[in-house]
Formats: sequence, C-alpha cells, structure tokens
Amino acid sequence: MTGPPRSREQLETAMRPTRPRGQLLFRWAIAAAVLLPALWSASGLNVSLDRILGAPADIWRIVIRLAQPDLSAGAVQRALPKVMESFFIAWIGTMIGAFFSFPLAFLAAKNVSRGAVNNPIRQLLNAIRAVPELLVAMVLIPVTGLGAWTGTLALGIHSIGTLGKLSSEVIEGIDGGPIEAVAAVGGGPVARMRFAVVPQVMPNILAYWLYRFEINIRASAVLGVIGAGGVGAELIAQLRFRDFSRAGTVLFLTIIAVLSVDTISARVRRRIISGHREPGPVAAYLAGPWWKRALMLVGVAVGVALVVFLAIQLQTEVGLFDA
Amino acid sequence: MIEFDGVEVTYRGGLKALKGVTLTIPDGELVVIVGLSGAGKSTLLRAINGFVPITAGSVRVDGVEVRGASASTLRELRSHIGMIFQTFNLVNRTSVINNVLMGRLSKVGWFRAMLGAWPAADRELALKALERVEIVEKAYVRASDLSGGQQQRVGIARALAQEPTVLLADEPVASLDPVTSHHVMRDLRRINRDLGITTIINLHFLDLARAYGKRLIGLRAGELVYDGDIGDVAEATFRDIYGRSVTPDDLLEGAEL
Amino acid sequence: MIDEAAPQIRPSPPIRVRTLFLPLIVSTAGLVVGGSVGTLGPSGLFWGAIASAGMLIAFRLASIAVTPLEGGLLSAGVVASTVLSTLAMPNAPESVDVLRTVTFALYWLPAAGAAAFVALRRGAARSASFNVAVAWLGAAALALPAGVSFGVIEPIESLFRGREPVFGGGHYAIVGLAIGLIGAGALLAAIARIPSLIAGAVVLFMTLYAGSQVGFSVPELIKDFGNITKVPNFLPPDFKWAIGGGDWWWVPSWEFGSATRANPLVETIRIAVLATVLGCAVSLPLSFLASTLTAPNRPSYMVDKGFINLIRTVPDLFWAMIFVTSLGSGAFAGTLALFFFSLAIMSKLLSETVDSADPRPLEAAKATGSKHFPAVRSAVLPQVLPNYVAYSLYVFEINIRASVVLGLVGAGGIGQVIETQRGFFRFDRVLAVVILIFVLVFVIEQVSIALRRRLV
Ligand SMILES: Nc1ncnc2c1ncn2[C@@H]1O[C@H](COP(=O)(O)OP(=O)(O)O)[C@@H](O)[C@H]1O
Ligand SMILES: [Mg+2]
Repeated sequence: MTGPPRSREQLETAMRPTRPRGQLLFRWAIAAAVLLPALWSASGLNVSLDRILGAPADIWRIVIRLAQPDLSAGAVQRALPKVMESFFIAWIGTMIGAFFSFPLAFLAAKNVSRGAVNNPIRQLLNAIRAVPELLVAMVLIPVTGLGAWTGTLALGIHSIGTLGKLSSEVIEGIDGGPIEAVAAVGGGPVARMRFAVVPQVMPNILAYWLYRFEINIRASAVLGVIGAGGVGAELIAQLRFRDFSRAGTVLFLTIIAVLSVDTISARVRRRIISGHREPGPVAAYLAGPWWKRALMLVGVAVGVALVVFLAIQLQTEVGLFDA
Repeated sequence: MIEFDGVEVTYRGGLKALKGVTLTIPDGELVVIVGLSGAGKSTLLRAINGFVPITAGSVRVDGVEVRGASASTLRELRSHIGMIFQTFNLVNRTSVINNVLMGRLSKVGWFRAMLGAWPAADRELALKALERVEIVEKAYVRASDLSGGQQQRVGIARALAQEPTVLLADEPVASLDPVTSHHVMRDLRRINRDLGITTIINLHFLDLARAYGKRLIGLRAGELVYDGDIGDVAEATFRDIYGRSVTPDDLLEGAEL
Repeated sequence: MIDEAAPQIRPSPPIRVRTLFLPLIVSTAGLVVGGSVGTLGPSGLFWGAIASAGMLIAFRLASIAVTPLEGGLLSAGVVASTVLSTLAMPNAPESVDVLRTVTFALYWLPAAGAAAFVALRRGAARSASFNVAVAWLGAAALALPAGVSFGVIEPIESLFRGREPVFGGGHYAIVGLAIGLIGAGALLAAIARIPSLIAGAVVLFMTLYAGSQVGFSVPELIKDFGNITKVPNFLPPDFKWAIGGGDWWWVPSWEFGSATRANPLVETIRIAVLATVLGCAVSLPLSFLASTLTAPNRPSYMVDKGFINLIRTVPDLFWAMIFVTSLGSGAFAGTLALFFFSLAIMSKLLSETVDSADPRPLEAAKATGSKHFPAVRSAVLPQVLPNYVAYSLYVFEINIRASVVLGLVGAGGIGQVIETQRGFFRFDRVLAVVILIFVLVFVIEQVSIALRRRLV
C-alpha cells in the first residue's frame, strides 16, 4: 500500500478528530460500578478459600447421586402426585391471575383510563409484584391453612401483579385509530374496549398468560418449602433424610414436567403471536421422506411400548393404578 | 491473478447458478460484472473468497486453490481479499473506527481481538483507510448516524484496512442515490489506480459500468456471455446479456445509452 | 343505466360456535332430567342414541350437510363407545385413578376413529383429523375425573365422607355428553377450522379438574373468610424490633466455627449482587454458543443449548436445597444457587437476542479472514450489548426478590430471620420484616426499571 503525497497526508492528519476520552472514562466507571459491589459482596460471604476450592467436589458428590434417580414404582408413585399437584397449583394460580388481571390491566393502562384511576391501580400492581410468592403464601397460611389451596392463592395474587403490569403495557402499546373509529360510530367505553382494544391486545396477553404459567410451574414447585402444597416439601424431606436417589426422582420428574410445559407452551405462544399454525409433529411426519417417517414411527412405537411396559410393571409390582 | 476454470456452482435444491465459467483476471485490473438480477453475479464474486463452495471446476487466487481449501487456508486467503456489500454490513451500534478496525481482525492476535485492544499501528492504518475515502472526521461517530453514502465509504475503508490485494464489491451502489453512487464509484476507481488493487465490481446499471469500467464481464443465467473491453460493447452485446434491448430502467440516470 | 354487474356469490356465513352448543346443551338437559327420574337404562344404547342425535342436530344447525354414510358412521361410533363404557363400568367405580381413566378413554376409540374419518373425508388436513381423534380421546380421559370434581360421580372409596354413592344413567350421560361436546366440537372445528373451540374446551376441563385437585371449593372459601379474624395476629407489625430494637440485625452468621456476625439484610443484597455479576459474566460466552448464528459448530450449539434448557427447568429454591445439602447452610450455598438461576435466565434471554441480531456484519467480519470468535466479538457483541446490560439489571431485580426467600431453606439472607420468627409465631415481626423487604425490593426495582428504560 503506497501512501498518498506527503503534504496531503499531513493536511489530513490535521483534520483527524481526537479520540474521545469520555468513553474510556465511562468504561472504567462501568467496570468499577460492577466490580466494586461484587468484591464487597464476595468479602462479606465469609467463605474460606479451601471451602471454595473444595466446593466443586462436594457438589459433584451430591449431583451424581441425584443424577441416578430411583425410578422404581414406589418412588415414582410417591413423587408423581406431588408433581401433578404443583402443575395444578400453577394452572389455577395462572387462571386466577389472568381472570383478575385482565380488567385491572385496562384500568391501569394510561391510554384507556384516566390518571386518577390508572395511577393508584398501577401502584397497586407494582406493590403486589414486589412481594415474592413465598412471602404471600406465608402471610396466607394462618388464614387458609396449610395446603395446596394456600399456594394456589399466593401464586394467583402474585400473578395478578405481574400479568396486570405486562398486560397494561400491551394495552398502552396499541394503535389508537380503531378506538377513535369505534367512538366515531357511537360506541361507549365498553364497546371501545371490546371492539377496538381487545382484538388488538388479545394475542399478546394470551401469550403472557402462557408465559406466566411456565414461570408459575417453577414457582409452585418451591411452595412446598413452607407447606403450601406441591413438590417442594417432598424434595426437602428426601434431602433431609439424605435419600439422594429419591430426591433425584423428585428432581427428575419436576424437570420432565417443566420441560414438557415449556415446550408445549412455547409452541402455542409462537402460534398465537404469529397467528398461523406451524406444522406440528404429525404434519412434519406426514410431509417427511419415507425414511424419516419410518424412523418416527419406530420412535413412537418404542415410546408407547416403554410406557405400556412401565405401566404394567408399576401395576404388577405395587399396583400404582389402584389408588 | 484470479483464475476461473470451468466453474460450476449448484446450490442446495439443485439450482445451477454458474455454468462452466472460465476467465482470468490479472493483477491490478478493474473488472465490472453486469447481468440481470439472479444471473449469478454475487455467486461468482463469492466463489472467489470461498463464501460459496463451487461444485465443479477450479478457482485459484494467486495460485491458491479455493475449492476444498482448509479453514485456515480460506482465512489466510480472505485476509487479503476485501469485500464491499450492497447493504454495507456495518455494525450500527459501534463507532466508525471500530467498524474499520474489523478489517484488522485477521492480523491481530486472538486475545487482542477479543479484548478490542487494537495496537496503535492498526489504529493508524484504520485512520489512513478512512482518510483515503475522505471520511476520517467521522471516525468516532456511531456508524448508524451516517448517511448511506458515508456508510458505504466506511465499508470500503474496512476493506482497505485489510491491506488487500483484491477488492470484491457486490453491487456497492445499489442502495445509494445517483450522486452518491458516482462518488463511491470514483473512490473505487481511484483506489484501484492508486494502490493497484485488483477490483471486481458487480453492477446493475449499464451507464455506471460504462463510465467506470475498463473490462466488462456479462453474465446471463449463470453463463459467461461477454468478456472484453468495455469500449467494444455494442447494443447487441447488451441484448446478449439482458435478453432484450436496453431500457431506461437499466440506467442509473435513466438517460439513453 | 342498467346495472349489469355479474351475479356475485355471497359466501355462506362462517359456522358459529354457539349454534353447536345449543342443541348439545338442550339434549344434555333432557338427559339430566331423564336420568334423575331414573328412566335411563344402563345399557348405554339409549344414551348413545341421544348423544349422537344431539350431534347430528348440531351439524344440521351449523349447516354442515352430513351424508347418510357419515352420519351413520358417527352414530355407530358413539353408540359403540357408550355401550362399551357402560358394559365395562356398569356401577360407580371403586375409585377414579389413572388406569381407569385411560381405559375409559380407550372405550371411546370407535367414536374418535369415526370422527377422524369423517373429518378426513370432509377435506380437513390430516393433522387436523388426527387432532380430532386426540381431542375426543382426551375428553374421554378427562370425563371421569371431571365427573368426580363436578360431583356427578362419587367413587365408592370416598363413601367414608358420609355421602351416598352417586351413579346413575343421567349422571353418566352428562359425562358422556361432555365427551360428545368436545369430540363433536373438535370435529366441527376441524372441518370448519375453528381451533379456538378445541382450545376453549380443553382449558375449561383442565381448569375444572385442576381446581378440584388444589382444593378449590366454594364452601371452603367462605369458611376461610371466617379465618380473616386471624389476620390480627400480624398486626400491628413490629417495626421497632425490625429496624433497631431487635437482635436479628446481629444474629450469628451460619458459618460453622466462625465468630463473625453478618447482617442478614445486607447478606441478602450481597448474595444477589455477587450471583448477578457472576451469572451474567459466565452466561455471556454461553449465550453465544447457544445461538445458531454465533455457535462455531453444531455439536457445541446442541450441548450448550441442552445445558441451558436443563438448568432453566430447576427452580431457584431447588438449587438452594441442593447446595445447602452439599455445602452446608449459609450464604455460600445461596450465592451458588442464585448463580445458576441467573445463568439460566440470562442465557435464555441473551441467546434469543443474539438469534435475532443482524447476521450481515458477521458475514463482513468473516470476509476479512477473521477467526470465528473475534468476528463474533466485533460484529455481534456490540449489537446485543445494550440488551445485555438491560437484562443484567432485570436479573438483578429477580435475584433480589429470590434472595429474600433463600433463607427459608437455610441458604442465607433475611429469609432465615423470617423462618425463625415464624417458628416463634411472631407474625407481627414477620410482617414487619416482609414490609421492610418489600420497600427495599420496590426501591431497587424502580431504580433498575428507570435505568433499563434509558438503555434500550
Ligand atoms: N444460498 C442460495 N441458495 C440457493 N439458491 C441461491 C442462493 N443464493 C443465490 N441463489 C440463486 O442463485 C441464482 C444466482 O444468484 P445471485 O448470484 O445472487 O444472482 P445476482 O447476484 O446476479 O442477482 C439466483 O437464481 C438465486 O436465486
Ligand atoms: Mg446479487
């Protein structure tokens, strides 16, 4: 690369902007703002170095035992209903949240309700959101007693806060044109909501409900810690007995449940948002080449056989299905 | 020197985008490739730096075979082939100089590149490249704050920062207005003359090709239909390339040829 | 001037869900009345006949003409299923369990098969026809549990509650019609493409069933209102103790053999800060491996994506329990727990952002002969950096909230105080601490939200 004439180069060098120093300073400031609190936090944890160095080994010892879950009929029979209970708690909790947050979201949205209304409602939603589900459950226990219903209510209340906020943000993001159009043909406030707002926001709000359900199924799993139903109590109990393979069963079933809910829910959400259906597994099966079809058929057959086999085993050994 | 010998490219799905293309581009030449959209211009260009794997024949750049080259050979090859894109392909959220410094990625060490700790010599090179396209005063501005023409000049500077021996420009002015187009084309021609970099430019517009090119390559449906001096091009040649007479749509400024 | 427009074909109105429900509800009502006066025989034939008649009327009202062959097939399927059901279960079941539920669903295979066949014949997509059969079987599987939670079926095993066994033709018929409702709805939906009908029916049943499982019941709810009087246990919140008078500010650290004392509230913040910083730092490289755009190769993508999805399924307190078990109680376990928790959240959010980043700058970087990761670093990282910072703040908010409850399982922080006071039944103190935490979380969140809003 041969340079341009000397004089021109000098001229252009003179026109070069100076490198802004502020950016560098800003970078150091950011680094300090992250690292100093981190160091402060680390210093306060009172962990000796050999404890940190020994931690991976300690964790590994437990994790490999948890990774060998006891999948015998008895263990599964004990853990499965708890996992199902968590699932039901999450479902009803989400339903409660959806049911109550829906009208509240309209009241909290700045573009469809007046300041005197939306401000207090928004603050109420913020306040509800700030309290973790477990603390809500703890406060509820004296009233509703120990059990799944308490956890359900706690999840429901917390979900009202989160769903209310998210939904009201969706409502605030809508196109104002249709509202005016409905108003122009003489629609009252309810008609405006029903015909101009709801159709616009429903897909997104539905998607948030599903998303909340995914979160709630995790949250409901831990409610058992304080006796508010679900699989958490079982995990604590097994860990206390140091029965790690049984604890592994609980973890294993929880992970399976959460994974299935996530997968299905994510699929439905994508479909709701995009508004058209994606080819499902069956359609993919029908559209695939013959070898793929054969492979899937074999896979399904093996899966079904496994389930049937497991069911028969469970039935003959412990009679899982005779409650 | 770039040598194409019976090059075929078949995309997955069976579409044949290049059909037996044979040509040689000596060092320092400025070549313009024209053809209808879908004729295979981009494919030809991308075969040179191995972005598109060729399915038959051979492509050699300075004697190095591109077909079936190992990953490290390809990287070495690409490090001295600059590429300029129709859509500029800048990182919008960072400064102009950081964009230009991307041209030095193949030259600095892995850790320096990851940390963004560019050696002073590379910074100097980047600023020089910006000076060559006359936009050095914007060095510390965010790339997204520039106009289209300015962004394309940053794209050229990024390629120049590689200290390339070959420049590939894929429709470099297709997203620009006529005046800026001429500016960018003049820059490219000047770089070709001053630095002796082999330059291959895909163009859609005939008048631009005629105004800035010397050697013209015409593609039609993946086949080489013309390869020669641009001065010899007649109406019949264009009919060969386009399959019809020239219309104002084929011209940047809509004038007659 | 004569209007000579070509005759236009008016499209027939779309099928309304309502037109389907009406006849089925009417025939259900008839069956209930019939059943409660005990005129329905247990053979299932009569029940099936009424159910299929209701279904055919529904088709008629929805203006879907059914050929005699299709009608006959549907009726035969439904009747066969009802007969099978009643033959297999002539009396109230011992209990309603998984096996019985599944078997009951299988009795409805004839009806499901007939419906799917008709849907196929009527030009529904193959997958839609498959869904019809699945919906029909799903409805059948839900029928017994739903019947229990509605109180139309009372299994014998629950008789100790002092109730009469409930099982009669009419009640059975309700269950059968519920199946018919969903199954025929699915069939209609497949032919006329109303997917919301299936979704609505499934959600309804899920909710009713789940509601019965979590102990939702109106009488209980009313009884709970009576318990509101117990709320005064919490009142007034003992702020004096919480803020200064109490000794919880200086409870001993849970570090074994250590004399140092830690303030639990400060410890809570420390756990959240450290876990956020570490989690977000580690998730940065992981996120790039977990996106098809930036992963260097397929295996590393699969492994990393799998890892992230796996750790994402484990709830925060489960991590805490695992680490408390393996490392002993204390803030160290809590920090590790939240570290994995943050890692999972951040990696998911960030890798999805990377997925949607502009791939063209990366191509430009690759064209300069760059190695993979330097190219990603200069072409993709700047694109996602603002999001990364915003997500980090978001993760911090979540961690603050999560770190509050870590103490409930012994993983350090202020939760331990709550747990102790709860054990002493000092709900006034619990409430005071909860309110204190609430204020803290609220303030941190508002600051963080304000910061985030300025970023993206
Ligand atoms: N990645 C690809 N996969 C399949 N077909 C492609 C791909 N890229 C280009 N093509 C096809 O190859 C042909 C030539 O494309 P291209 O080289 O981009 O043409 P030009 O740049 O002249 O418009 C077109 O028909 C195009 O559709
Ligand atoms: Mg092209």
